[in-house]
Amino acid sequence: MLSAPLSRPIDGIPAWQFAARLLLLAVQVVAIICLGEKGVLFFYQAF
Amino acid sequence: MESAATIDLFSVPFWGAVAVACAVLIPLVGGQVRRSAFALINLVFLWYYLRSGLVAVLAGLLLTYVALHLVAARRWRGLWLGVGGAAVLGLFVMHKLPALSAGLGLRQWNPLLTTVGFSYLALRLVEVGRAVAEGRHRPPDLGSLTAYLLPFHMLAAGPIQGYDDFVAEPDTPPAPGPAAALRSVERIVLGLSKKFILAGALEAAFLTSFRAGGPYFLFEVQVNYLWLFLDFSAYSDIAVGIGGLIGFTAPENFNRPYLARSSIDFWDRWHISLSQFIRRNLFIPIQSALVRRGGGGHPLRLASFTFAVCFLLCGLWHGIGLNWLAWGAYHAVGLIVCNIYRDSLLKRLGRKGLNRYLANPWVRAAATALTFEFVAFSLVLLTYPWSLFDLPWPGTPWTQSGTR
Repeated sequence: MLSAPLSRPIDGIPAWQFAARLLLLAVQVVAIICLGEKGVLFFYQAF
Repeated sequence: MESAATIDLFSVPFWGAVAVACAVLIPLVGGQVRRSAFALINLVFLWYYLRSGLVAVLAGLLLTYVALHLVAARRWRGLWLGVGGAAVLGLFVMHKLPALSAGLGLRQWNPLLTTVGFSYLALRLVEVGRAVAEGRHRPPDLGSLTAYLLPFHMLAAGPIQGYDDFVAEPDTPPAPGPAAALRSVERIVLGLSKKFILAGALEAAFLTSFRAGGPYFLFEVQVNYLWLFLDFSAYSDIAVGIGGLIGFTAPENFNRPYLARSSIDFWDRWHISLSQFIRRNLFIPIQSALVRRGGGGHPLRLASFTFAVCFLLCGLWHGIGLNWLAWGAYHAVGLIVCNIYRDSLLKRLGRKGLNRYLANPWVRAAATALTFEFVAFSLVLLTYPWSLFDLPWPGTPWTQSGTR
């Protein structure tokens, strides 16, 4: 059973689900940067 | 005019514009103020790519603004509509035939037309022109006109927002809460994943522009369709996501087209904003005109003729060449056959029988598979190295693919 803070909704979405979706987004962004050749170019341009 | 760079979705200027748009537009209140601020962001974004070429864009916007007001005031309405239509058509032909522009000494216009995505801009000009000419809406102020015609998040590959929908947007949309913001960001990241990981991987691993031949050709036909769906729908995902954040909506453009069960269903699921544009601005007016002239008899023939005209023009909008004309004709035939088949089924089975037939899972599966293959093979017309479709213009042989 999840503890109360993790079940507390953030704008209707349970906090644990919100955090999981944010984590998934972060993983996808890292994958895009590493696997997509454009990602390498993007960071080359930016920095 | 300086040479303009092509807008790149994976670039600092693009995502910088997204960040600025979010920071500025989300807290702003009031339709006029928001649209003007959005217009300014769009112009600054374009200035990055066009530099001195932005002057031509500003001149074009001003001319369009004046023309729309004169059309609305019914001062030489026919002349302005005619001149405006000819100008849009002329620029469109130049955009699609760079060799012709070069031959006319107008080569320097092509990078500008590509940067502003003139294929899509032309359709938005038609939308706003018709809306004002028909009296459905008042002519827009300069800020609203710029916001509608040049939305930075929809320049690269649409979608094409209808002018009626743009006007109907709330003056001050509610700022996205955490859930809405999360959904929008997820949509953006989905688009980026589809384009730069999935589509990129498919292209690198499997696609040979049909040069491999043999049995591999049949496999490549399937993968090519999948690749195009991932690559094209990615742009729409990104535009929809950004639109959700900044409150300037991009319409949905794809609805699982690989599940379409007929040609007609396919065009309700693929590049939806384009098929709705065609329906509003070509199919319905042409059909209505034919019915007014000849009465409502022979509805199948009328619809078939209208499909043919609409999709030949659709092909030419994508690219002015025999390959695109063949693609348009191919899809027109598909729509006509589909329409005639549905009509014959209705006559044979009646409404209830037809619904039972359509609900049959085996019929659905077969129809979906057939439609998938029909569409997949249509793309061969575009990508197969047909030397037959190279059109020689004075001085330079030319081929065309893609749409901007």
